[in-house]
Amino acid sequence: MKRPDWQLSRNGLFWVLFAFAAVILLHLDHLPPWVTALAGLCILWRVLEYRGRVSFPPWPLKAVLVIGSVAGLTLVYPSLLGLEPMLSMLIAGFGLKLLEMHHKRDAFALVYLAFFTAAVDCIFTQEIPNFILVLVTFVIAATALVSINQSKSRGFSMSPSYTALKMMATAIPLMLALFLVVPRLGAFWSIPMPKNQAQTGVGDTLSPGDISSLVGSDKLAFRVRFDGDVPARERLYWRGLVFSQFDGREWRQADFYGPDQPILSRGSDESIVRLGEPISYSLTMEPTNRRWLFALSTPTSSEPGIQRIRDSRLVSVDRIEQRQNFTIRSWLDYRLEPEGLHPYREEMERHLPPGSNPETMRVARKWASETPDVEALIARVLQLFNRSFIYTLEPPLLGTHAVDEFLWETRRGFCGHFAGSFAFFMRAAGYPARVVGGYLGGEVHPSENFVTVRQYDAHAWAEVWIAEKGWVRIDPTAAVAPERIEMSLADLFDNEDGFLADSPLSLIRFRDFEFVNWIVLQRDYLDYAWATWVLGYDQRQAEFLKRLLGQVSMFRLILLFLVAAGISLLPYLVKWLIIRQRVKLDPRDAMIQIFCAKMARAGMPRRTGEGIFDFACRIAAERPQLENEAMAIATTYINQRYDKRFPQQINELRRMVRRFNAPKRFE
Amino acid sequence: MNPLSAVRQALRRRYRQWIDRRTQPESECYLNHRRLYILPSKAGFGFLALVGALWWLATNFENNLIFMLCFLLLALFVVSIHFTHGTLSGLRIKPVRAQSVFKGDAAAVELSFSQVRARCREQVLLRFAGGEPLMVTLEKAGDTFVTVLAPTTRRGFLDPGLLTVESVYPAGLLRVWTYIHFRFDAAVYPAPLSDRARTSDRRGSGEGHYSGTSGSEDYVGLKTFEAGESLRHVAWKQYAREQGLWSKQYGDPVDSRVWVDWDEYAGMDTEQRLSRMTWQVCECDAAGKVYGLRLPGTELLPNQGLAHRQSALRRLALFGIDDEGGAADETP
Repeated sequence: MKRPDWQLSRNGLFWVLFAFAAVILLHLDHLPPWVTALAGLCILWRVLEYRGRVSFPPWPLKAVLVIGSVAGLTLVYPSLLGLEPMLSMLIAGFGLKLLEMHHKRDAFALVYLAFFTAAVDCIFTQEIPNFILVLVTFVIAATALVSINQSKSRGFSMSPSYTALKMMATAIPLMLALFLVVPRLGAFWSIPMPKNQAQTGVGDTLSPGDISSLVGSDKLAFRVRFDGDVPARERLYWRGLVFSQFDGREWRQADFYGPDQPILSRGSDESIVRLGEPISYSLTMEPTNRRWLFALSTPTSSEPGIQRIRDSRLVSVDRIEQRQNFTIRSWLDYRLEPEGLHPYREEMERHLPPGSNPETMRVARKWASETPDVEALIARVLQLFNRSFIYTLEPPLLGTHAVDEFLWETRRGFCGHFAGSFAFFMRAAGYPARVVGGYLGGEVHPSENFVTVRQYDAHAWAEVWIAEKGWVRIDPTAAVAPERIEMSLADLFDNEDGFLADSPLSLIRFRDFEFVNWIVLQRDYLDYAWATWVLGYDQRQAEFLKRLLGQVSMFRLILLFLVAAGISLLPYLVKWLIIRQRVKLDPRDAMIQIFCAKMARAGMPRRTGEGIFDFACRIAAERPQLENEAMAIATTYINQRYDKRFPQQINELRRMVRRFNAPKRFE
Repeated sequence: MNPLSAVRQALRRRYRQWIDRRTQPESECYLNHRRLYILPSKAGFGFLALVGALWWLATNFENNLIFMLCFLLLALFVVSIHFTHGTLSGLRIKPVRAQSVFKGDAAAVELSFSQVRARCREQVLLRFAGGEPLMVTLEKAGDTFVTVLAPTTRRGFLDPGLLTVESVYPAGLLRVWTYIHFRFDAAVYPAPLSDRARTSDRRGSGEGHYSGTSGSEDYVGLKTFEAGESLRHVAWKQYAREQGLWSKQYGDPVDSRVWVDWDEYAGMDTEQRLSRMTWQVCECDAAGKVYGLRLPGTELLPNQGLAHRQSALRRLALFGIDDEGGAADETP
């Protein structure tokens, strides 16, 4: 038998369309434009159909649309198995299904699809604002769910959204309990991640202008929370890459057996002398789609999937495609490979392409013979930098012999220029030297032992190998602009055009105002908490549950759920208790109840469904002696209750009912 | 019949028996957790599949946000137990009145739904077994009166069987329902069975019949109004009671007394006899005759009019049935 509720209500139709539109807006960036257009067309068609302007499309047209969309998707995407083709397929299917949505069960399927596709958005971005949009879409979809269960006759109304919000709010404590407790299994199989993600941050080659292009961005690079105090700012060299090969123009990573391969990681341990106590901290990397981590030297980590390679850096086995947390320990005082380099390494770290930058080669050889002590030579070069060089975000362009031009002609440059030409000079003088890329400093949050490093903190410096001391960090930028080391770039280049060129409205531009500064700090902290407590919760679940429950036992877990359910239902419990205490009755109805109770005691109860006037008539028939009083009470009540023309005076009714006295019938 | 459906039928029968045992006849019922059943609906199982799909997505992409959304939906499912239950919980349902009908016709049963506070209870589905379902929405505080049609399958006191009250509001993920067994004082008359052949046989048997000339002064009874009859003879009182349009018949009571007699129908089983007698009563009433009813052990003196008709039919309906409702067997 067909139930009378199988048809879709008008309001239900509206909210389903609304939910679908919200989903499309959410995924606007991830869909080919023609899929969006198709979906919009389907919505429009459905609306017109509802208003009676067009009819449902005939089946050949629907068939053409289905075949056309599948064909289109196969053309756009090389394989239909990825996330984006799947998403496009779902959205296109969603739209086409709209064109044949007649029944409640179709609407249910579409609402479920809306929930699913909205959740998929979290794979693309995990930022807070985005998540809020997803939640809003969920509320709309839940509203659609409620509205399709409402009576058909209702027109458009917002009322189902109140019900949906009420249900959502009630669900939240339980959701949190589930989120905290339910164990996470690892991925069943690996799925291709969305492809649109460009590699960001410091790259694996370094040419003179590279770093200054990063300075245009205030995007987050990574965040660090120290277990103890934050070390002094000039020690915060976040070492990410080591460039040992120079081709005359660009510095590259040494290709031992492919860059970043964790080779010789065991043997290299003996070549590090660690001094003093380590500091430990947790690093939250933003996705870079690259392997290397940024850490203070010399780092170790026991995280699975993280390995240390020979130049004392940490590298992840998998690319960092999502925000990820790492626990790291670093010894800030160290000797790296102090006992000498293997001859092939020494050769590599001193190699220069023949014929490159002849002027620098000549000067370097000359200075090396004049100043045989390496440290004195370094001091002499740095002094040169200090005396006649300018640190700027907008250096002039350089030609073929970039180092020559920079050192002896333009003399204006950014950290990449200084680090690169310094390393070149030292190699030309015959010493092993290399360029190191990473970030410097970051923003230290006063109260939280917590540092935020942004793209504009990108930096390059040099390392020179000195006998018995090993690799020594030399930052030529410090010689030119010592203030760069002590303050952030934001303070240094506040008014220069290149700084934050890509983010004209960045709040960081206005940090001179205390209030804006406060907002920036709070936003950073919120972002950090979000990253560690929500996005990275699976990594700290066991520890947190232990702290929350004392001991993770079945009993305590059940208790946690009961507490959550209690919090959910608390408002209803309170309401229920209050209702039980006082049922608010209209005073006139209350009077009539007293009257009926008196009659019931007299052996003549009012029947179910019997109107008060009928009751009075019956009294008049069965107990003629009560006729006058009963009729008077009934008419007064009716006038007071239903006739607006009568003045509202319940006192009269009250007086009559009080005085009324029905004797038991004597038979 | 394949064995699976046999098992299903057996299970269904056991379930009905269990429900019948649990659901005693009552005169009023208050819906609370003790008598409301609640289980996921078909859409609810679909929703759980959606939660499963999100969980798979979250696990495979190791995405805690999707986990959160997945748990939000699961929690939504759990709390909707409370909300769906609330759609029916706290309702008081009372039978108000029911119409007496012939067996096989649907009886209109009026029920009152009352709630203490105004609360929107949408899409409450009411249905007697085998009857037309009815969808109502209750909004205001106090009584709401609803008329449901109940099919009748046996004569006697009206016993429409279990009334199913159910709803899936608000989320549609769960279905809350209850069974109520109401008894009514109304009677289900036997289904009339035409007995025209026998009647014509009996025409000349000496029983009186009235002259049938209208215009006479003596009021004989009512008959259905036919177009063209004098409006002065319309029975306005009955019309005002919405009992249909009748015209008063006036005639000379020669000797128009007829007996509808049990003993005349010998050689048939009880139900057959009662059905034919019911037809006879209707015929006599329609013809405006003065008729009496003889049943074993009871006799209704000849009379006419609506009240008489009703008491005659009621006697036929309740023949052989004690007050507690030991129902007669169904007609084979």
